[in-house]
Amino acid sequence: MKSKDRTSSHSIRRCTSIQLILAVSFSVFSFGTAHGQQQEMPILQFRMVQIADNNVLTIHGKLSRAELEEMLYGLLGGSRQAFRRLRRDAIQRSVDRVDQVCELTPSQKEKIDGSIDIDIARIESKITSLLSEIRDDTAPEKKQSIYNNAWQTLRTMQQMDSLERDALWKKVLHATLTADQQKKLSDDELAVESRRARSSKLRLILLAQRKVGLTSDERQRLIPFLLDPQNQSIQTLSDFFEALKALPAAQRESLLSEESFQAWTQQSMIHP
Amino acid sequence: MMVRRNRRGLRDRATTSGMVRISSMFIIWLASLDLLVVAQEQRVRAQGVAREALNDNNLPNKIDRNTALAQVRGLVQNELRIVGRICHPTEQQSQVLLSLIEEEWKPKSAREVAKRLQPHVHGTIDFDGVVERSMQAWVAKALTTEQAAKYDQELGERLAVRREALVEQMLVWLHDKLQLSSRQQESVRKVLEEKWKDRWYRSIEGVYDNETLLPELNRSWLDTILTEAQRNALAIRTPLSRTPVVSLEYPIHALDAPLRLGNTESIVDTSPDPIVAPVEPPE
Repeated sequence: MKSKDRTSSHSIRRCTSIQLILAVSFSVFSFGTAHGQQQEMPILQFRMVQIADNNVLTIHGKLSRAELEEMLYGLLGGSRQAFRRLRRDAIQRSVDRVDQVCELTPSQKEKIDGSIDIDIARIESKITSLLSEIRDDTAPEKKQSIYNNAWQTLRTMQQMDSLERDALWKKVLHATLTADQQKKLSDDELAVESRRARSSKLRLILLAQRKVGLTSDERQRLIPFLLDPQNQSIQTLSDFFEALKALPAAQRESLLSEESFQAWTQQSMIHP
Repeated sequence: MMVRRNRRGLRDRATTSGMVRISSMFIIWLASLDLLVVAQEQRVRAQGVAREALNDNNLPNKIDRNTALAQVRGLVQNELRIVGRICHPTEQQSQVLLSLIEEEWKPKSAREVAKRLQPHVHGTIDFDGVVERSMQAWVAKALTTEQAAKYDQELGERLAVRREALVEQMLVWLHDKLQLSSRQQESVRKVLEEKWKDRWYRSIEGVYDNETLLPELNRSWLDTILTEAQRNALAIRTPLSRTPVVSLEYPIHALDAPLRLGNTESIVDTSPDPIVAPVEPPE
């Protein structure tokens, strides 16, 4: 009787252990299958989509204020040190240009040079102030929101060029220059801008050349037409075409042959 | 005996039902896991496709082969109009020239067209240059020496304007990068004109929209003109903000429409396209 009971308990134990082995091997197998499929998937991309969709907390919520500040410098050259170096170099190039044009005196250079460090420090303190609300115990969601706002503010400032426009060194420079130097600088800026305008109009000539095939005579007449201050608003090829179309026929034919104008009209109907 | 048989039966049934239970649980689990992963993957792929489609819409230069060929043909037709006005060919000359063009325009432009269809070579395709050089050769073959010389002169003047435009654009770029004064710009202009190389001609898009396609500048040429800070900045190849992408303004001439020169029309070549070797991506 005892041996029968032993056999029965052995069988039940065997059954349980078979179940256990099967369960474990199924688990391992299914994990392997799922893991393999997961590896084939672009997991990072999936995570990014998920984060964007669900507005999930990003890594920014977990960083300290100093680390976030360093991340903001990514917009300004990569790091605080890189920003300082790039900013100083950029200002130095502008000051060199003013020196070339106006021949600055040593005392003027000294004053401007002194303002460069203050200018850099002002931008740095502005960046610090953007994240000043962040404390050690600030909740990650709040931290992330402050960082996002700071990033957006800095981006807007860059787009509006306000870092350049309100630069202290520029104010000091203009306060330091004599009237004669101011005039020289303003004339130089006009010359540079006029070169920029000429370059953009020459581009239009190249594009019109491609579009309709201009002869030398036509180009020689069209370049002064484009450079005329009255035609400053002509910035694109379609502006150019519309301006020519608006001219009286006789005036237009003095610039562009009727054959070329007809070809342009036909092409503008294909690509309005 | 009966009791033993019943016990064995019970044990067997217990083992079988346990196996069935585990197997079915496993199958359901695996199926649901599979469904989940497939659904996630499909979602990610859909997002990817949507993004790619968005990017494609933002690419103004994405065209098909026939459009690219029609653009080349458009440039050929424009060039013929200029040949007509500059060289005044006779009807017989026009006929010869048009036949020559119909025979050769596709093979001559095939490689550039194949490049045009690749997304990575935007800004380095020079349809204008291919058509101009080809037309120069066709005119030399079909017209008299005097007529060809007139066309060469016309082309030379055009290239001079293109060179001027490129130099001016380089000066604008250098000003944005180095803060050149107008006097420095003038000195640099003289150097660039002196050191000019014909290989600097590139497509208009390349010249204007992509600093990496700016002709190479030997810094030693500008050493005496630039200040130290400017020389340092020139050494660093930083991307400048690009000018807004403009639509590529090529003329279009239908592939089945005849080319015209004066009153003469070509007989359209309907032979199959030449086979072109695939374009190697740039290193």
